[in-house]
Amino acid sequence: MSPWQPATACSRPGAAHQRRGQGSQDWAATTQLRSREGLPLQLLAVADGHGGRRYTRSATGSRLACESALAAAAAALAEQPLGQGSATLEAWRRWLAVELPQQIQADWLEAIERDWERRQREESQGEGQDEPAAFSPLLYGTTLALVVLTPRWWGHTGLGDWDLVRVEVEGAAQLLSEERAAADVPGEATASLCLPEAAALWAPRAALHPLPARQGSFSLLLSTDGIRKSCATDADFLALAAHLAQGTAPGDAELAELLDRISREGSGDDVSLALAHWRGPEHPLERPPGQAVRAPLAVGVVALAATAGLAAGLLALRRPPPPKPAAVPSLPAGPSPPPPLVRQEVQRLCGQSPAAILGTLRSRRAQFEELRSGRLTPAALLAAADEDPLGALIGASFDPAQRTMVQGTPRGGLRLCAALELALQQQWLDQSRGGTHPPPAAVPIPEPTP
Amino acid sequence: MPFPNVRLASRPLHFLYLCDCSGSMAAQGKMQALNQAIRQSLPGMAEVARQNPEARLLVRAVRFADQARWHIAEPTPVEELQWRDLEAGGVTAMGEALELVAAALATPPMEERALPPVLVLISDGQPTDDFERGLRHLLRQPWAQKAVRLAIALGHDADLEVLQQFIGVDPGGGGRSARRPLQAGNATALAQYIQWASTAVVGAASMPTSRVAGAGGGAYDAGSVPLPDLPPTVLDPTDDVGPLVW
Repeated sequence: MSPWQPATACSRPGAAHQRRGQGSQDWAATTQLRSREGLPLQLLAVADGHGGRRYTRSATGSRLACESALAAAAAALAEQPLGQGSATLEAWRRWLAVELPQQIQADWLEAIERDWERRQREESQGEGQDEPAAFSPLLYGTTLALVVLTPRWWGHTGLGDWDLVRVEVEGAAQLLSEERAAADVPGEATASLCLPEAAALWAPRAALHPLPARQGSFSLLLSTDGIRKSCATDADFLALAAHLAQGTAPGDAELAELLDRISREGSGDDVSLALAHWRGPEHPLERPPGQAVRAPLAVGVVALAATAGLAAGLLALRRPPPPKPAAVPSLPAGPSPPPPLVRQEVQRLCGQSPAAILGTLRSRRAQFEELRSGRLTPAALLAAADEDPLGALIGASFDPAQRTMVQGTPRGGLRLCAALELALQQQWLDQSRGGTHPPPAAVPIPEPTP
Repeated sequence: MPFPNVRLASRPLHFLYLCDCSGSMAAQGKMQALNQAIRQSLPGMAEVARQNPEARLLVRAVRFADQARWHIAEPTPVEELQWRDLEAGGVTAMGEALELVAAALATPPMEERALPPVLVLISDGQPTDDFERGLRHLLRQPWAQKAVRLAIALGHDADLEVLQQFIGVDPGGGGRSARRPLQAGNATALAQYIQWASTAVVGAASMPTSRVAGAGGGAYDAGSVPLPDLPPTVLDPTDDVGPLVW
């Protein structure tokens, strides 16, 4: 079970746009995926396409910006283990500030060029409307914000005039990130993905926040500028954020209605937000009955599939999560029964065909490697059993001292069926022979201290 | 979901007239024409405000002659505005007028969430005080830099170079442009320019549209608000707008 409640995203066209019969230039999206270790992750993105006359494709630009951001972040998070320790956190911080923006920028530029070419083809066939004569990223100009949520840290990055507010459980709201406009930048000017130097503009808006083991509940509100500009003062904006964070989780229609009113009585601009809640170990949030993970409104929603080897899609919460342990427990000195969730996982797998069992374990090849190399410990996987029972089973099957599958009583305690025992054994033997998995890439992971 | 106890508000759009009330404005009916043009523009301006409820249009006016004074000191909702005639007499303290406006565009009293203001400078002559100093003071204010600055020149004695400095960089390329002084040779042309500034420009300034800013400051697009096209009848001085009186 994830310590983060499933996120919400909503985007509505501004009152001024609606009056003119124009569509929204904003986009908002969330997605859920699993890390390389099988830990649950979430991503939030909002984007605001520029409204000036020359930005004729900015509505498409904002959509492609969110899609590119979610895809690039998901790919990296699935490839690199979250790991632990200050050096690892620093590597992820740099990823948010430097590497990820470069990837997103490149992906977005490719995406808008493809879109342009497609429109040109449609126009030549008489299907498209009048298009500007020449392609320019300016036509698709947009801001972009991305928030990454993991069980161990959360972070943000992006460029442009979006806002990020953190709301504590008692209601105190703080503006964590906003765009600082230069005095000589006229009017409603903002940083944009269409700028050649855009990737370099992300660093001031990037930050990583570690999550201590006993982090209490809090919420995050990520929004485009239309919401803040609709509030009479920043104090009103923070009060609005606190209300959204603390109130009963609104349904899609209610949230849309709220945003419509904000725009209508405020700035008239497009309004978009993404909302996330950290449950915390001591204040599990009550789930409204029948509260499934909300698919964001059709106006601004993208659901992405995770990369190969990891589960993807939306999770349906049915009960509050169990409290998280204060610290990762060390393995007991002597044999001890596996946690109930591990036994349940064993029963589930043993109900499958041998081929299916083998396929399931092969999809977790990375975890086998990490355990054998010492970059991951069985204790860490066992501590996350409620989120990843299969990972916990794999951890429980590993003997760090022998760097292979457990033997004797610990093995017997797992109560494996023959097919599962054989498949696990096969995986550990493969690892001891060096395996065929490609070496880990980019983000440096510290070696465990002896 | 009940609506929270927060204040939502439209964004203020400040519109300021800077009106030359020097003695020369008394000649050839210029002062009467200016008063008439502004008074006649108010209904149209109010209609634009109604069409753009997300912008709260607030009007003020400065008069400058021997000295600069507020003619309408308080930002006044356009629908409540009743125009009191300006009177001519004295010299042309344009620099002082700019300093007066500079103080009004400081934050505070300007609200941080305001829309870029619109400043319209109307003059028939040359400044008689330190215009450069006044302009420096004005452009030190971020809101003045963000403002839409227009200038209307009445007659052939107006100092076009000074008015261009107020507007900003000449866009080049020849021809008429809203980013150059608008030259009104008679009452009809003046009325059309005032109407354009108080309706089309206000309409454009009322719409919140984000634009791209460069990494080192400044903007890729000149000006903070994309200006609408000038009224077609004043694009060509040979158009039938009546005799050039001024």
